[in-house]
Amino acid sequence: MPAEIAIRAEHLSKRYGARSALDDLTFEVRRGEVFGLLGPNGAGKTTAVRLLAGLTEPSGGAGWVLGLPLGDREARRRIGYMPELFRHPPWLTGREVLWAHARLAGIAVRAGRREIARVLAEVGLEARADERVGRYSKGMQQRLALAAALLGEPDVVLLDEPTSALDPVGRREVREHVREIRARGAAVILNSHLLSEVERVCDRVAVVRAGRVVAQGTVDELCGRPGLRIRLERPDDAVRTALEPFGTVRADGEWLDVDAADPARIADAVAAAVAAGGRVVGVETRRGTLEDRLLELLGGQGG
Amino acid sequence: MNVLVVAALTLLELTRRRVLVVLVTITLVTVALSGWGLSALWHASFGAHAAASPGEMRLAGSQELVLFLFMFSGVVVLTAVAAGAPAVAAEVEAGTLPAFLARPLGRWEVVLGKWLGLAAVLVPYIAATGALELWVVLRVVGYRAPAPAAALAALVAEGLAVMSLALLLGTRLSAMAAGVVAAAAFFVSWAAGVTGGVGEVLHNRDLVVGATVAKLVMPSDGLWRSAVYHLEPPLALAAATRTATGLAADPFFVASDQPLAFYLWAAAWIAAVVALAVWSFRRREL
Repeated sequence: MPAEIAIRAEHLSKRYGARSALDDLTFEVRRGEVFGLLGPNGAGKTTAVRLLAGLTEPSGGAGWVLGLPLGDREARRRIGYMPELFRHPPWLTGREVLWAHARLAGIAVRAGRREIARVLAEVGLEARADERVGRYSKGMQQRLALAAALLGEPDVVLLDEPTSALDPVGRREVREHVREIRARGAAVILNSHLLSEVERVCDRVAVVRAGRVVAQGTVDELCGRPGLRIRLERPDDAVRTALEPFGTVRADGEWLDVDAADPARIADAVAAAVAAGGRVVGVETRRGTLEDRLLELLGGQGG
Repeated sequence: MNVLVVAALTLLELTRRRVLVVLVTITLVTVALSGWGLSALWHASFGAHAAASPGEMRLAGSQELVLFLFMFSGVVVLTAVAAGAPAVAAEVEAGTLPAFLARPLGRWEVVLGKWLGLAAVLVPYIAATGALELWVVLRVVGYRAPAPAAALAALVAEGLAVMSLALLLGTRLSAMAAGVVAAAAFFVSWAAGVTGGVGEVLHNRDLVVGATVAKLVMPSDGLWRSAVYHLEPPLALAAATRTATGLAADPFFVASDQPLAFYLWAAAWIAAVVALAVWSFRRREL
């Protein structure tokens, strides 16, 4: 497995009795990459994350995290995991929860104290760190779960619905954390129902349906490259021909649609249309949304 | 190492949930009340009969001690069930384990850590409370049990056996169901022991064999009988072996010690139950 690949799943499957939760899941995540898992409820996203975290064993296929087989102790020492259901022992304080995580992760006592202070500050819980978790709001408990996942600067971070209980400010902070994790070269898997969140932070996305990856790529690749619409007083063949180097051209009344146009060349395309004698009266860029594409891939299957 | 972290967390949980405070309070109240009750009973029985022989008084003192420790044994079992059954089950139900299990923490470390944490509370609790009861009896009625350490060790082993079973059941069942089953197993075992004694008196082989099987399947009653044996005065034991076979049916009198093989079996039983708990928890989908 090449060193730049942090996570590799090959034909992973998971069955619970007769029910298949995951079927033939294959993907790779590179170091320094944020990889989003999208799909309706029950598609197998959480099962995939749990397999990667070593919480359950695959029924078939294989997977590696940092070059080590799924569930390997050394790999788990370098994984930060935030479960979808972020439950903490209510009789512990926030600091004690992090202490337990630090000890279990093998972080030395003194380094652990520093790390705990750092992650508490990062998620904004320093002031409430010594209160029992049972008194925390849901949002605070989710922040604590994120703090636990960030302890020890893990090389792989698995975030399962990390913002489900957060307000917009908290969501933005989580996005910033994800970008910071990526910036220091760690791989992130982000499971989220919030498509805007996925669009903003994920480098690549896999759409999972019934336990299988049905599409995979960058958001742009999934949604199609941005298109360009140029409105002309009188569209003619000369202008159309002039625009062909920029993408597939289709006439739509006074508009010429240039599909898959490179956004960096919009000005060049408009200049080419004008140079060909066209009188340009309007320009629009357009792109399909991730939501449209997701619904198309899932065949209208709700989440 | 992670076993000790889990054990420390278990101890912390028992402290934070006020289990330790409750146990200490119950101990003090129980010892005080039993001291008062024992004193009242003793004076009611022998105050007007100064002619009672020292042997009779020792026998009466030993029986009162056994009676009090029998009640304490019930508290031990309930404590073992209440602490052991939810140790894993409640965490599974609450969903607090996955985040910890994603760390380099083996399931076996969870089970063993829980067991150690619970044992760290149960063992001193049983030993200290039992020793206090023995001291109260010595002070009030002047009866000194012949082998107090062996009796307390048997009580401790009984508590560990029940706690281990409750822990094992909690890896598969809900905390409530695990507790009910573990408590029922203890009482069935005790009842089987009494029935076996009746079988001995009646020379009924089936009842005796059934009781022996029950004692092996759930050794708590055998351990309780061992505790009773080590509390009895030697003279009474000698007299019982010479004459009264009917005493075998008395749940508060045990005329002979358990064989060494039984103690080895009980130790192996506890180890096997803990190993089974590890195996069961490893196979459970969380």
